[in-house]
Amino acid sequence: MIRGALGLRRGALLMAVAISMALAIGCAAPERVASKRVNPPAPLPAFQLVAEGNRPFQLSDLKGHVVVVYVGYTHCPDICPLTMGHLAAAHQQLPDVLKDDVKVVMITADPARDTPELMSQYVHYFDPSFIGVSGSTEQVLAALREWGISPECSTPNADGGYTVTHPATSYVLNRDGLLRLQMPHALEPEQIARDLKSVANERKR
Amino acid sequence: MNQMIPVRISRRFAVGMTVIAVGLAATACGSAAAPTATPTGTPQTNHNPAASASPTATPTPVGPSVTMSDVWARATPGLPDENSAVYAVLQNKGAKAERVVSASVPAAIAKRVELHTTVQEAGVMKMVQVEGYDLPASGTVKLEPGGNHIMLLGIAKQLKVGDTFTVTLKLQSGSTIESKVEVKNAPGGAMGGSAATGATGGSGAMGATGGSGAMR
Repeated sequence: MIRGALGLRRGALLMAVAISMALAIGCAAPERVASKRVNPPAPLPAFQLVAEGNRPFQLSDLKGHVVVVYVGYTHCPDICPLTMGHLAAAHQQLPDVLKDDVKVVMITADPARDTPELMSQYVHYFDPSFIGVSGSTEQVLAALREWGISPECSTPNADGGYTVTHPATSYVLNRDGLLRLQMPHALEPEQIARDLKSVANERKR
Repeated sequence: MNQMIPVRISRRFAVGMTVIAVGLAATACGSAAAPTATPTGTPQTNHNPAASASPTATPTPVGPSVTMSDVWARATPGLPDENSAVYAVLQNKGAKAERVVSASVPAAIAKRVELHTTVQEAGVMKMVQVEGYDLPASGTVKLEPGGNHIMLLGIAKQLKVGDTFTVTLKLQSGSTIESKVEVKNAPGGAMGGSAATGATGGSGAMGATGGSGAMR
């Protein structure tokens, strides 16, 4: 019994040492995140696109919120629904006070097929608060190009179907509308939620 | 969850399926292609056992012993002309290497089926159509989100959680295996379940080969 208790105590002590060491090492960054932090937060090129109901949409409309921007397309069978599902689960895991503060925007990489209405229906399947964005092909491709994204379409199959390349990372903008995190695609909802919380808590407006 | 569906190596079944597939294609979409994933760009070596099978031939356990488990398809939002994917764990319990060369589903489920893998290259996600999945002897290959997947194109009717259908895989040896597919929500969508662990995009043990197909 005694030995067991001692073992426990020793374990706890070791744990405490490990945690304080980790904290000491990690003190440069305010909070550890699984995503890649952008230091200092960087401005992103502005654009004007189209959201549900053909309303004009620009990211500055969401200033004051933490915004996750994901670029994908509705015909994507694998990675886009996986990512959107994870973002939806992460959003649900946020503390209630932060849920409204964090917005998720999906911009299509396939404007030829994805209308603003389709984008909107698609994202609402995952979470009714998500925002789906498209526009004319020229408009969307020009906006994405500004961000350094050039989607490439595959050769269409016999039915005219094709797939499209899109970025592997999502972009997280802080409350000032500046790029704060680059989020790899494979994060689990728990990690996403932690990272979003970290950005949301950086500075309350 | 972890049920193993035993292999069915039925040559007669393969012949039957071909007939059914051809029949369905003819009625469902006229001149459109049958809903079968055909390897692109490869002259297919004709292993079709139907041609040589004598009427008295009975299925013999000489073929590979490949099983499919955890077979599921992603539920869809219900948009027009949407796509989905089938995932599974493929296990080759035999002593000989095997290869999945195509997959098919009923025409009532999807117009077209292709074998794909998702790859990340220089920060870009892309899907690459592959000609097959190699199944090493005594090896396991996972078809999982973010990696290998059987792509269903042109979903005929929204796939809802709880729906089921049948997927048939054709192996290089000429035999076929089939399995029930359960429609589910994306892992992690609701509760970050265990299946989500497969989603970490590892390329380690993926058996995709023959990526000479079109970039997708």
